[in-house]
Amino acid sequence: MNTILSVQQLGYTFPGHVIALSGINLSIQQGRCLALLGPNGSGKSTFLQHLNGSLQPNQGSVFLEQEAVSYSRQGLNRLRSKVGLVLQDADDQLFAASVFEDISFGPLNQGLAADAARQRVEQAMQAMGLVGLENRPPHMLSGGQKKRVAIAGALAMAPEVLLLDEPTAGLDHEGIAQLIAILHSLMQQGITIVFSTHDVDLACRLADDIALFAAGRVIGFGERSQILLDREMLLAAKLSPSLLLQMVALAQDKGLLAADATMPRTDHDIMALFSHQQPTACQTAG
Amino acid sequence: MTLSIDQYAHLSRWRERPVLEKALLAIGMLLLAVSLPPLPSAPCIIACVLGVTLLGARVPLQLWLRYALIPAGFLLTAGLTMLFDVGRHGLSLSPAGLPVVCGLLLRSFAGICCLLLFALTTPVTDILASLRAIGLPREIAEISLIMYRLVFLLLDTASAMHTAQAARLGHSNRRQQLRALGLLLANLFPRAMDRASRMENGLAARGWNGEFNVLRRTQPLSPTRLTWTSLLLGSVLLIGSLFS
Ligand SMILES: Nc1ncnc2c1ncn2[C@@H]1O[C@H](COP(=O)(O)OP(=O)(O)O)[C@@H](O)[C@H]1O
Ligand SMILES: [Mg+2]
Repeated sequence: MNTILSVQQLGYTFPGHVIALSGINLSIQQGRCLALLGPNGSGKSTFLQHLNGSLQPNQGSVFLEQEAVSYSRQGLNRLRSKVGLVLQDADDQLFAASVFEDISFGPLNQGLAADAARQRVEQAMQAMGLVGLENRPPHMLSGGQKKRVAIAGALAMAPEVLLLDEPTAGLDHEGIAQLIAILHSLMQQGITIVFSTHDVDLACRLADDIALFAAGRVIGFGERSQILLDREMLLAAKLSPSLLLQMVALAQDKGLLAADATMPRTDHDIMALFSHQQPTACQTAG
Repeated sequence: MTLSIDQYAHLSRWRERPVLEKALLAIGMLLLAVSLPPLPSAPCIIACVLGVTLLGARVPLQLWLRYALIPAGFLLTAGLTMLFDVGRHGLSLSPAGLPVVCGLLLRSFAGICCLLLFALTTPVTDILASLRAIGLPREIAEISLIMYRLVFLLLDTASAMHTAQAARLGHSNRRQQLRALGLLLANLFPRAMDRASRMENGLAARGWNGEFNVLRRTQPLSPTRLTWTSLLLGSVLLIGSLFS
């Protein structure tokens, strides 16, 4: 497998001696979806900002395709063309007078001609389900729409890696479902996705791999099931196994799920597993 | 949430019409209203512009009334006060007389109609972009654009904080109200700075190089529409100068 982005011995201290990250080693594989899972304040956002050069490490380095990132203007442009970042709060990202104009910002900065940029914008709007909102100013969009505009803005730059900070924060059920569908379709197109979250169920639903963050360190890295089913490790990161994860563990205990079978991703999957085996278990009175 | 006039402009059917076309019609009529004698040109202009606003740009009548009635009210009170003179002998009818005041009112109302046509179809940001095209320095245009965006964000934050304060009875008396307002303003500043620095990050992530280049979506100038506009302006000019 191809490593597209990696960090070695990465450390970052904010002014005022707040140690946000220390000694992080991580490789991001092309075409896979990586969740940075950890509680608030564990350094996920800070880490994401290193991956696209918004922050420059105090220690260690970031590598793009095995090459240490250069923080010159040129180096940063190269990094940011390949690695798109979607901030947690879409309002931090949208600035232009209308949706269409905002999405065109990135492609034009990449030096694309107007026609090519227009095409990119239209494609991104289509992919994010934003057609019809071209002329809306950002302050007249719903939270979910803002989020999708922010993603479209990154996507229009045709990145190979998309970084999303807490992508479901502030979205309602419908917004989250839409977002998940969108991320799935991006994964199918082969885009590498890295997202941060404190929600174990979201990591379970979307990720291939998980890096477990606690107090500025990565205390676990591996395939989804490897991390999520390790109760001790989750607790060490101040997270707790959700009902979904407990049911997966139960299913394994009861022999409903082979240890080497694909781990269920959603409530729906696990309910199906139980209801097939024990129809009475799911019946309710009346 | 009540939408501002600018937000309606964003949703207007005429939003994508070139600003120049809209300006030619609205500002052209405005200039005629100011320069021609009010009768019969002002009623003509009011009829034309209102027709274009309601039937052409399809601004809902109710919306138009909402924005027209406020300045119209001001005009009426101003007109009334002009009718009278307060002199040594008490209240007396002003020498200017009824016809002059009526002319003035008609003319001003025509002006309001013209400005509303423009304001309800052309967002501020479009106006800025056009001003840039005719020579406003890029820096000023871009700073105004960002300020325009930040003002809305800041208003959102301020109104959320205001609600939160009210929820904890921060406004239960005059004194507390003043204190709460002080706190709100004091908190708004660091938040605004924080927001600005995050925004800078967000922009940098998209390859910002100090210039805000975006693609604008406007229809090209239409000779047909320009001709219609000129005809309309021409006939008002003709009527106004022939029959006065
Ligand atoms: N701008 C900043 N200045 C100082 N400390 C910061 C700043 N941003 C984050 N931190 C600190 O860095 C640590 C990691 O924060 P962050 O990366 O935002 O965590 P997460 O995204 O996992 O919630 C926290 O202890 C936080 O208080
Ligand atoms: Mg965070």
